[in-house]
Amino acid sequence: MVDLPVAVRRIAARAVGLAALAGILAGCAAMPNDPQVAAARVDANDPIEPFNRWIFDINEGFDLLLLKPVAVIYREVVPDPLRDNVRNFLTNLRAPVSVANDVLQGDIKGAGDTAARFLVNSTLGFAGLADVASEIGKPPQDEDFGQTLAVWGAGEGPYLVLPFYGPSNVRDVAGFVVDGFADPVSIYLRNNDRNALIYARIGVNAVDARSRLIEVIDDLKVTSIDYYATVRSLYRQRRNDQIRDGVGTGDEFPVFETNRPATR
Amino acid sequence: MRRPVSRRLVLGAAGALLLPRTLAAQSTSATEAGAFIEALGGEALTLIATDRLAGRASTERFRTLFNRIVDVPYVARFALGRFWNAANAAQQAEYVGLFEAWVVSIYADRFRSYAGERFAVVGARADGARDAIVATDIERPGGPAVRVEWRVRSQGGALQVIDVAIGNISMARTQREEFESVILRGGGRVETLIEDLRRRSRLATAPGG
Repeated sequence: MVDLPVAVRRIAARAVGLAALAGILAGCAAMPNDPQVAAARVDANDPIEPFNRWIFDINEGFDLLLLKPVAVIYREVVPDPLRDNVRNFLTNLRAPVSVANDVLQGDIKGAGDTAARFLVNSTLGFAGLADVASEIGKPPQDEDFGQTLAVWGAGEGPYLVLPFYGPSNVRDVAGFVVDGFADPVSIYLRNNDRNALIYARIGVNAVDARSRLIEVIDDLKVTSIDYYATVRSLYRQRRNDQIRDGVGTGDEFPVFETNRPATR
Repeated sequence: MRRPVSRRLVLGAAGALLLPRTLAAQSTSATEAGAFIEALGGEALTLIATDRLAGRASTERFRTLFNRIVDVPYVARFALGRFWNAANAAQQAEYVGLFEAWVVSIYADRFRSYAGERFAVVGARADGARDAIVATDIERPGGPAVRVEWRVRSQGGALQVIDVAIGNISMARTQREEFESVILRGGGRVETLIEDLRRRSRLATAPGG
């Protein structure tokens, strides 16, 4: 225990006493004044967790009944090269939005690379079906407005689980909406009354993404004690990685004096 | 540009002299770390491949090897995060034991599912003051190779893995955030997590299980 001035300790003792009383009154063993609990709550960044868990469970049901079975069938029925073509085509459609966000982030090299990819793949790659650019050393890098907001210094805001869409946060919802309005492909389809194609694009994107994660998600479900919390952690780490464009956090791992058995 | 010797560096160096040798901030050689992962990763895959018959002996041997590769007590403590200090000595000891058994069983299964596949060390670099990160590509049939990065730390002269990451997603961090969530849902009681791990350990050792 850290040494605290007597007065502080007295106040703390009283607060703990009150909290314990409140806990008993509330009929639970929680200690809201425990600083570790409070800090862990802040770190979790999930103030509406019960609601999020509820949506998460509904999404899980949707996944179990529809998305996963369709993804499994898609992977079984559609041969590998064709699935790659689908993926490449969808990625290529995202390129204009990605370029715009690169520019907004001040990443001119990134913008140039993605624009070059778009030109090469849209022509030599047969309207984006083949990812020729990757083969000549320009792998895709997806930028969205959520990442742009982060680069501009916006905080992520509370964690959110969206119906069907899944893990997100306030910043990424804002980014998602802006990208949706700014995407030239969506604008074209909306203006020409091709709403069905908009939904088809969303659906195929979801099935394609899910089909490439079948084993990973199965493994996570089996090995997680709290699958919801695992997904929350993975989402945040993945987004942070995308925001930093794959550059590591640079966070050092702590030094512990562990009671290790003598080295063999 | 001339870089002045920072005060922190001087203090750090002074501190390092005062610390016991095992705690001093030693850097980990990237080359040695790469060779370490290459040798022991290969050993683990060979072990699994030759013992595909599974059974008890295989698990025990895998467990010994796993503990040589990974500093399990370190990862266990990291994963408990801020609640490590909330646990008493008995809870800490029981938790580390249960964590070890649980993690070994998970990785034994993962390695079994990787059996027959190949991995290659594709790079190693120093990371921060103490660690080296070794990048490996694990090749899967019918899919792109998975880039897995191993954080290796030299402690007391021995190299050991303290984290595994895929696409800068750290398994140790994910584990810690999950464990914190379990404990929070248990009203901040570390015992909640220990009970859960105990239940898993009983299920794993149950006859026919």
